[in-house]
Amino acid sequence: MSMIVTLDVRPMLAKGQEPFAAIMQAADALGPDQTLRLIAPFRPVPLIGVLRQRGFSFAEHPLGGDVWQVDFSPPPGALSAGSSLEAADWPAPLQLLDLTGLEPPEPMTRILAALETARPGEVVFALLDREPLFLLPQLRARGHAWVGNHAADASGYRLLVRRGADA
Amino acid sequence: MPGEIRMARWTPAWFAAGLGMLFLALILMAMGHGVPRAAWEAGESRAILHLLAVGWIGTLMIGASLQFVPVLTAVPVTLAWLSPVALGFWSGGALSLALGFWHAWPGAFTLAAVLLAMAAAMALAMLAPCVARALARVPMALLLALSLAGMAATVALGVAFALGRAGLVPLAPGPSLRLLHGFLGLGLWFTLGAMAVSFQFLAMFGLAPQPPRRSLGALTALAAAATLAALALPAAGPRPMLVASLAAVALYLGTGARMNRQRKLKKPDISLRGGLWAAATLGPAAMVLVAAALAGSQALTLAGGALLLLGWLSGLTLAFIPKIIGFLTWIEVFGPRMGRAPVPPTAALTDARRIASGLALWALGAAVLAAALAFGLARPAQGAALLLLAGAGIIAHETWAVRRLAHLPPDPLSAPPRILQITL
Repeated sequence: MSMIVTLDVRPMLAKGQEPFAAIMQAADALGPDQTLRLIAPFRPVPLIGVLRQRGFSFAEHPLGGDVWQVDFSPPPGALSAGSSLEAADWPAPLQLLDLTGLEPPEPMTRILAALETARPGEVVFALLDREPLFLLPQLRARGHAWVGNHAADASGYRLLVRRGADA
Repeated sequence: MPGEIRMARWTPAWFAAGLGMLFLALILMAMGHGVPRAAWEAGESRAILHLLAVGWIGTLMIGASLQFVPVLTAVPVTLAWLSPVALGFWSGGALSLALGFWHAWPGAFTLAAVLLAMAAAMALAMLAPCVARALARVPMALLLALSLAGMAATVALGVAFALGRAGLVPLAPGPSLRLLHGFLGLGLWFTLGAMAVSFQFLAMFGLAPQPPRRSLGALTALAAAATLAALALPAAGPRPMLVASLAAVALYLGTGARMNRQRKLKKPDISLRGGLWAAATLGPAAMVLVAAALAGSQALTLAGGALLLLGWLSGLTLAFIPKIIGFLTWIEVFGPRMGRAPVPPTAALTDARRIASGLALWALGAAVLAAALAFGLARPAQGAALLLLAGAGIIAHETWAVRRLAHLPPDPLSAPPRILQITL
């Protein structure tokens, strides 16, 4: 049975605080069997959009007055924090790299080398043993966009990188 | 970008401070101070013990946690700017504590209590939110949470003891309370934390599978049971605590051995081999400690403690210091050139044979010291301290060489980075 983490943002909004960061933090911290139950004094349309793009499913119920309850559930293999939200519009990857079984930092070097040979806008796909946490800041620093998640069966990590325009 | 894991900048400084206090303790031991020449209750023995536990392993544990807890949990550290402040307070507190024990100075105990409490609070403020946010998601986070709780409890008890020694609170801890303090520090904080980190290193650098969720859950449960038994020491005696601890050690070694058999990296480097040897020392260390408790032998307790602190915890730490610093230095120096120009392999930054000789001298020193303590022999203990000094000296020198890029041919495009700070 899934566990429900409830976040009522009405007190924050009443104090004039912006709840977006707290909501995203709570969403990122969810386990695979957990649901984030958001209570808000309005229907949070933009937030639903953002979390849907990150692969969350949702169910909403009006609670009377203007108050809404929205339950967000992370899909198996939700996208890592920092993933680009436009990946659905990217072209198919031209390079497919299987980097499993390589000792760090070899996977990092090969992805960056592949991006150097790609043209701006082209996409590289890589399969890794684990989330390349030290690579992701390098990608951002070089102006590339990326989107990644853990395989649902925990067999590895899948990463799509699109080469930036003037990287 | 929020949510992005960045390298901790101050790891080299934490490691250098810890190594400095290790050398201080070893020099004092080589000069004949502490057990077995002095009594175990003597101030100088306590000073050396706390230099090793708080000053060396404690400093390395916090420094390594600030680098690797975010990697283990995939959650960035909060308040990372506190790191150098915490380092200053922690090392000042450790030195002050040693001075307090050595000279029985109440003022030094008070200062140590204040500095260590503040430094531990800062470390917890940086690390606890990371671990808390990963609890539901990352099986390893449970182990880390328990280890951090061990840190908080160890420091809290230690601060109370120090204030007692300073005459500020009416507390003269008996053997049970002191054993609890030792269990929480060496067992829960250091050993459980080192178990989590060693699993991660084996998976990350040895390409082994992650430890099974079931094993991590069982390990956490056994560690929690041992802690409850340690809290019940005055009523239940040490046996329940020893049984639960032994079961946890057996489970750790069994899980690690299975992961090691499934490791995809066929030729492990010297750090991984050194780490595996250090992990193997945990078995004999635990058995000697159990034998000591059953026989009621202080000499055997000291020998088991030396195997735990110097064989297992220090062995693992020394094996990975050059590896971690090499990896961070490589990313710092060559990260921007990666993919654009040829870069040397990470292994080119280190001299594996020198590291192997340092680790071998260290292991020999730890074994000789344990035997010397078991038999109460002062001269061999001093000789062992010299071996340990030589081993740690080689590792420290090699780590310096890694940071200076000394094993690489000179290259105008890659100047050696700052020694104590990683600049990104």
